[in-house]
Amino acid sequence: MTNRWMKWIGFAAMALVAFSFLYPFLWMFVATIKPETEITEVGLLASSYNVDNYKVLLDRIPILRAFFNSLIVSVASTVAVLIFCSLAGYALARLRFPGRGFIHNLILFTMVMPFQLTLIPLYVLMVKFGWVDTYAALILPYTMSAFAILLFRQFFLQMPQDLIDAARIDGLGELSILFRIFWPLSRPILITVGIVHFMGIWNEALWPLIVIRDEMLMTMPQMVALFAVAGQAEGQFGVQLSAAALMTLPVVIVFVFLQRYFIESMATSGLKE
Amino acid sequence: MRRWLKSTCKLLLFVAAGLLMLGCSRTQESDGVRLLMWSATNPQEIDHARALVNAWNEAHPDTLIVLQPLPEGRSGEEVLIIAAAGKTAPDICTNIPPVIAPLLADAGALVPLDSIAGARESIRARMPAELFETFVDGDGLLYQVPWKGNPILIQYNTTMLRACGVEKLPETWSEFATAAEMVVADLDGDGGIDRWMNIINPISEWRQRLFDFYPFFIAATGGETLLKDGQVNFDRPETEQVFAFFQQGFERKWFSRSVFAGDAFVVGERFASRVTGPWNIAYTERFKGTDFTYEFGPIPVPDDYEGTKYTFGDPKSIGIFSTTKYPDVAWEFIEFYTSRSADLKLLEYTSQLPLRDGLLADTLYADYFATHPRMVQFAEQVPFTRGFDQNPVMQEVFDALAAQFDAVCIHSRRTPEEGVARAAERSETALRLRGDG
Amino acid sequence: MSLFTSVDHGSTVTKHPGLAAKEARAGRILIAPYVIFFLIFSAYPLIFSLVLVFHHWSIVGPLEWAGLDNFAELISDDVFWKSITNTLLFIIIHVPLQVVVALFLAAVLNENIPARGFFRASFFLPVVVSGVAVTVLWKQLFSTDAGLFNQVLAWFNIARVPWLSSPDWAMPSIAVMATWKNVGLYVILFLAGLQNVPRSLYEAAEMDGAGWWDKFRYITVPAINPVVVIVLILSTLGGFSLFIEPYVLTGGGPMNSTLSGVLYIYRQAFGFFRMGYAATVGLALAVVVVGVVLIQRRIVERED
Repeated sequence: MTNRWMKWIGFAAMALVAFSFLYPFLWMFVATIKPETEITEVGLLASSYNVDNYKVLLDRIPILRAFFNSLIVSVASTVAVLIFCSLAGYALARLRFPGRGFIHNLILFTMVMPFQLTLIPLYVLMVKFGWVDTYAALILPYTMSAFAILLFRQFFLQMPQDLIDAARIDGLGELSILFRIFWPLSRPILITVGIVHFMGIWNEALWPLIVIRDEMLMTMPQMVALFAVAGQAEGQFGVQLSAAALMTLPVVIVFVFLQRYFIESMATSGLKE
Repeated sequence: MRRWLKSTCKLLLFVAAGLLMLGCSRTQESDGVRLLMWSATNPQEIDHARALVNAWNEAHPDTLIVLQPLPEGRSGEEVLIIAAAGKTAPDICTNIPPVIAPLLADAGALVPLDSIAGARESIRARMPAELFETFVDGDGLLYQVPWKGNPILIQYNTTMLRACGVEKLPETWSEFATAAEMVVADLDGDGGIDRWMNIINPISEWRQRLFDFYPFFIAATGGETLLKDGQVNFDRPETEQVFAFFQQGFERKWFSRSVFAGDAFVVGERFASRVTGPWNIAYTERFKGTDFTYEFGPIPVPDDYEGTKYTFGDPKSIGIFSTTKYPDVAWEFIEFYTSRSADLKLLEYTSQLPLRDGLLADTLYADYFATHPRMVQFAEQVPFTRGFDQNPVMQEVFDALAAQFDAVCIHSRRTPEEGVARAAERSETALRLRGDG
Repeated sequence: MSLFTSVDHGSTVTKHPGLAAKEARAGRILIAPYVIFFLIFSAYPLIFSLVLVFHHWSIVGPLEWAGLDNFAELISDDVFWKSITNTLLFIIIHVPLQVVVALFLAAVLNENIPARGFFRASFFLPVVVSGVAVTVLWKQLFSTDAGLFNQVLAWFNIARVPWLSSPDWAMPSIAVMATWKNVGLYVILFLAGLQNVPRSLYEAAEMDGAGWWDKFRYITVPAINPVVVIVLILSTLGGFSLFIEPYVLTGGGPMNSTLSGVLYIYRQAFGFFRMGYAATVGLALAVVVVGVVLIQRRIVERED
């Protein structure tokens, strides 16, 4: 009896908390279509709704271009990470070569090395290479990730050796073994690495802020952050919120369909330490 | 799976190819002399620059100027520094903030105009005499062509002032205080103030202090600036008094500590005044309500102050980057760009004021000022403006003061004396280690 | 965690020396991209940062030898130390809040209540949404005069709170926002920890007459302890990499009360063009981060 009560109290508590997580987003989307004078009100009802804020936003900053930039950068660097990190993970897990232990330690070291240390020198490197204001600066430093290599390595360690031996007898090279035999069996880890890395890059704001100045090359988080800080929004919260809403919408849509993958993958990333 | 792999590889190749193209697209060669010029990014200034560049190119087909607005979105300072560091600077930039000119000059990124025959004299002759010296670098050389400015005054909502019983624009601190006490009110009786005297952006960013502390400091000291001969010049009673003035203002709620959504001055009409420049006239005319009237007044001075009223001039300069192959052509173009007739174009297109001597006496501009009467007040102010001391650590000095403005004025956490002393100490350290002079 | 252990896995057909050499060659080729990446994007910046800290450099001009100037300045730089204490304050508020809220939500979700999947997804949503979007949204919620929070407080006749405009409130406000943003992740981790405990264990304990506290103390706590460690370490790292939140909300103010270490690096580098000093601050931060994490590990290990 008490159990049933507890169950409903728990449900009510969860519903309340869930409301506090969802309402701000809902409010944000609705606020962007309210008239400027009613934006700050707590409720969702307004005397009328319009899309003026979005018109102003599109007029002021090339936000669609930023969306496109974010997409290019995130996809390119995720694809690179999947390929290069699985190469490295495979080599570390399944191939015996001199220096393997050393490189493994090196990877562990770069993982614990705080990024604050290399932020400025890395930026200087970008300046020296002439990569400031290019896609290269946004993508190339993110073509590998120590964490992804370790995940791949760990996953590949569990593969049966017979698989490799049989493939080698069939005359397959190591690349073929990796991409034709291991990859199809590695869906979970590919998804995990893919999602975690993609989301990381998609949401990254600091690095673009440092290496990109040209509006045409800005990623979404950078552009929206600058828009919220700089005077371009002329303090209009409706327009700022519209920018945030445009950035949130695709994520929410993808999340709704793929939430299981998202939650599992990102929970794995929590196990980093 | 294999097909998927193939398409992934294709995508990767595609991206790589795209990157290569981007990398290569930077180099462009052509015959004949071509100079790249960066202008400011606001539409008015781009139109103005385009008009002048087109005129120049028509007359000089063998020395073409290519116009490009400064890459947008970030402080112009940073863009220029990075461009100079990466050797991607243009030949000419017409939007050099004088605050970073020394940094660029020290790094050898700017051409000293003294190296071009006649340039320094020509620049000096164009300007109000008093202003010229403030643009000379610590090493005695001139690295920038002081071009235009925006004298900072206070714009008052006179409808609101009158409604509150204030008949005359304040000229001194105590007049300002009296007016403020009449304006500030809690209109809906909820215990919170909803009408303030003056809008101040409380964000801790030193640039914001160019529109409150700095003009008040310049006005109170009769045209002093923060440094003198490479030494701190603000460790003086006037600075403490300015701090005390703002501290009192925040405590008495003449100013609000919050940031406001939207334009709370012209559109929201919750403030009686705002510290601003001439660019605000066009904006106000566009957005003001039907019964909104306004006037510009001087920056208030201490009650016992007598003499000329100075203010911050928000100047911008033109510079030639040392990576240019044609400094002489660049200078010729700049002379054209800052000529008498070009200055008229500047007024007409941008409502910003050329740093030209005798602007109001020159008949060429008479028509403009007759049709834009509000600009007269700003033009009169131009000779009595101040910009930035030419020192590479200037931003740090401003930051030191801004930090103390935050603590002393906005949050009343320490006394004005202590604040000024701390700012002076930090500035002295910076000047000693990295400053000029 | 086997992520870090070195397992000697390799071909079992190593009797043949030719095959072993072939394998070694393949290994070298496959690892080569990483080695190149490491040299360019890790090793070079690391070495260069050690060069930078001994120089003054405005990035445009030449490097100027500074000796220990940067370090001397750092030691007496109040603002830098303020950024460290700010970060510690953030951690002190953020970590317990995170643990308590996440544990509570996970504990309830662990029961058989309706719509669990929906709740789990709702809590997780802010985790996937960009920090910039969340911050822009909360900037509006936090607004003193027109923000949602103060309007809701006004219903209960509570005076306006200067969430972001008072030096005392600003950092706690950011810590609360960060909790809202991240708690979903830890709910999932706690949930995984709780689900590892077999039901029968609780039932057995009940038979032995254990109260809820005993069950909590001796069964639940050990199960979730590793997650608490993760929360602790991730929140610490998060605290020290705090950037976009203060950048968008407060610019580091009021009175530098929300200035984070990274924001300070950013300010020194791109506000004052002091690359040498910015690198020095970066080095100092890195040392502090590693130090704090090591101390935390030591404490946690002693507790076990």
